[in-house]
Amino acid sequence: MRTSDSELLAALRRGDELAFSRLIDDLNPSLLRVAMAHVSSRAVAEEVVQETWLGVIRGLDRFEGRSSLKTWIFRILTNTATTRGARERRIVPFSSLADDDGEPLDPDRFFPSDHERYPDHWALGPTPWETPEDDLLSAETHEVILSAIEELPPAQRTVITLRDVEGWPAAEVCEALEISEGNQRVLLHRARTRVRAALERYHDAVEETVAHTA
Amino acid sequence: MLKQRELQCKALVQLVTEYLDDVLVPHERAAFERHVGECEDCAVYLDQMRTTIAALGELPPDRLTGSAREQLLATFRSWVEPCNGAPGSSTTPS
Repeated sequence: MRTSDSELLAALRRGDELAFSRLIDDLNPSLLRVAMAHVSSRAVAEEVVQETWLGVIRGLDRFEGRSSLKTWIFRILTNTATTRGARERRIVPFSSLADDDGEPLDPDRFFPSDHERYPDHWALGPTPWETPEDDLLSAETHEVILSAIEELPPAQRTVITLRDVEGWPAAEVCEALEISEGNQRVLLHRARTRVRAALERYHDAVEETVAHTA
Repeated sequence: MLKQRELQCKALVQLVTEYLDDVLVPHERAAFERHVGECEDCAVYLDQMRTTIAALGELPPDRLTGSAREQLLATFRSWVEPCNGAPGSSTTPS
């Protein structure tokens, strides 16, 4: 067991409320986002997270430290969410890539492979985004990104949330979701490609509006 | 003049995440960087992927409502207290 984990575990078993509340604040955003990938509404996701914490409290004595505490908590979440999802008839097959559907980047943006001069080169390259960096922080950009994430297939949504939104390292994502590193990277790549495309559509629309009003 | 075996744009965009995670083997990495150095469209694309990732990291955290949090802490308290009080409990080093 990792040292920080065994210290934390000892504190939790002692009933250290501060340690527990820190753990909640630390993990809840990720737990909520993963739960949302499994069930149909925010309200149900919150219930799943609550149930997960109850499972954690009840299971503290039994936890043997074969995985990290974080991984163990995410397993409880996944089990709870899967049970709820099944009841809602929305089962998410995590280990498979089968939930994907089509190309994340429109293949028509490239010249065909047998093109005489430019095989597999951009036919319609990306337009640079002429917006200041702090536009990334705008509420509008957040909305665009959140709705792009919302539309992703569940496994992609979960992976991009943990890696890019919550900033987890790849190895921890693989461990928590029980997927291979390659699988994780494919899901992440497809998800990022789709979110970039959504931002591109947003930027193109903004620039068109500017051009019209100018 | 383009060589047939070179890394082309369509293949390059598929490698961006592997490039950023630094898992490309050295010759792939070199080919990737050579291409991006020469191809403006791919340079813009890579830049936009980086911007996208940065923007994802800026999303505000999604927190439990205050009451849900309070409820959990109360449960934790009530669950742990009887254990602490119970004689011979294996979970409570004194």
